[in-house]
Amino acid sequence: MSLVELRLLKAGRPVLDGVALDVFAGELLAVIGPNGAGKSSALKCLGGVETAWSGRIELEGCPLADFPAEERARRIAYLPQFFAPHWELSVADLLDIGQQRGRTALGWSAIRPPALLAVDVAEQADGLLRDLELNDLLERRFASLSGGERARALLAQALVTAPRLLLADEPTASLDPAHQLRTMEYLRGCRGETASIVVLHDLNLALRFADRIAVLADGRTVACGKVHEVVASGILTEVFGVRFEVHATSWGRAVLPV
Amino acid sequence: MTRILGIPARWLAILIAAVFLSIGTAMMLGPELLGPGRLLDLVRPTTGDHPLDRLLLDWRLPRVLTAFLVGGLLGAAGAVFQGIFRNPLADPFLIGTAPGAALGATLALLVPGLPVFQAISPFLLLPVLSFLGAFGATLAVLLLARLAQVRDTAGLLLAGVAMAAFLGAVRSYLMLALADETISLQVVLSWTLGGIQTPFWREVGLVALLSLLLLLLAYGLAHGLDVLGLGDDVARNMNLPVERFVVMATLVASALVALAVTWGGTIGFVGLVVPHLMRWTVGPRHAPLIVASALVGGVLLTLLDGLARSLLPPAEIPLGLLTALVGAPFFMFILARRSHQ
Repeated sequence: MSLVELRLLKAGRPVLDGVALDVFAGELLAVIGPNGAGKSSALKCLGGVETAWSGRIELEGCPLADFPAEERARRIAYLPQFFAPHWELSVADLLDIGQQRGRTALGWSAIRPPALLAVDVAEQADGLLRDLELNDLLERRFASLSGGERARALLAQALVTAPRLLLADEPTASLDPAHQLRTMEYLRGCRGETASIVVLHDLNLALRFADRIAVLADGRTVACGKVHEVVASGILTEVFGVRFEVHATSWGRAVLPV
Repeated sequence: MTRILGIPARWLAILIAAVFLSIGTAMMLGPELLGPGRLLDLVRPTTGDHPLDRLLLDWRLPRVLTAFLVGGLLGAAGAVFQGIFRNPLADPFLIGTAPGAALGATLALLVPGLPVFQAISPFLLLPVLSFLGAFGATLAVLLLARLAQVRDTAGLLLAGVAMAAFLGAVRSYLMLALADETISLQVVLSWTLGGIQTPFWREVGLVALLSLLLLLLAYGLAHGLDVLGLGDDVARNMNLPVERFVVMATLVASALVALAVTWGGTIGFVGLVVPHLMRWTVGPRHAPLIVASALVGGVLLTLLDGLARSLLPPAEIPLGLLTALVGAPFFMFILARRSHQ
């Protein structure tokens, strides 16, 4: 459903040099790789954050450039690694802004007659809020939430328009193990037909929750396939420069660096 | 909670009542205090031509309405600038916008005959030059900060403070160097200290029309400012062309400040204090914030201008001094509250 081949130069230095990814509706693709491999940069190109890339990005069989900017923004949601709103927004505010994702903010069309009475986001996104257990947190300020609650609020903001592609840059960073698991479960559980590309540092979260794994190194995709294929191929040792032991666990195979 | 224009209905009712109350109160304030009865006589069609009526209708009412408009422009401009800079301490006066406008206006007052100004009609010289000064100064701050790779908003504000100081120095020098017998320093100075002009009725209409247009444009920025507050990366993903939007928003906010400066001179602190108060009451979303800041900015300046006219008769206290006297302690209060949090 989406296909990516990317090159990106920054200050004359190639950051991405042949990243190739594909992901299907409802699938979770984990992107792993050592620091500086270009994982975040690839997500930024896909999300329209970085625009100077070359190559091609296809969404549902059409080049991304064929989509009007508003449509592109409605179909592809991006969750950054660090997120801190500058104002004291509530969860409901975040959802409301998220729901207007893609809306033109410049030009005469930006001045639209305001809705005289506000539409209640909570009613419209009821299912999502229930899945993410956010109903009791709607009026809370984002800054006052715990790490796990923030992750859920952000997920809701990204998913409220039911985008086709969700890009998440290390959604489990700075969470404790319990919240890492829960966030990944939410990510798997509430996305419906949305395809997700998730950058993960924790290899075992990737092995446990992803449908497929893409391994990036030096700005290139060096492997992309089913979880067990990637583990069996020995590519992890090659890319991370450390040997891994494979252990069987209750949920599947886990790896430990030795 | 019912919201109208994003503002809780209860607050909107209070704000609108405050607008009428402040205008009524300001009509009664002057060298001699009037009773509410006098005002009612004005709107009663049967009244004879009391000599005071003409004074109130032709002089005081236009001035009161202009004060309201200038305050509204400054309040809305403050809300927009705080949104652009993503910092609640951004204020048209701190970040160089108003000093830029003041420099432009000073040039218009001191050297209206300069050959480069011949292309502009004399009637428009002051507003055009103050707009160019306002826009140029703000854009320069944003560009310089980008060149110096200042990414945090605090750094951006400091760049603005430096710009404000620089422009202030240039303007002081121009005032000393260019004022002579023909152009009194007094005129420029009193304008610098801030004070609402008393316009003719047709001018009030023009200012009101322009203000409404600019406030509508400012309101149109609200969604973009909301998105901008989520950070550049998320904003770009949500289809906000960040750089272009910041330039456009700066353009609109500078026009708001320029129009305010043209009719009120340099009046500080309204653009800083009012959006702050409103963020506490109507919340941080920019659509209600801009509307409420415009209304309360108008109310505040209408009342302060009334006080400026009536505290030390027959002299008028410069309005900029009054707003600073009220605003500076409030600024300290904000800082204390922030560090307390």
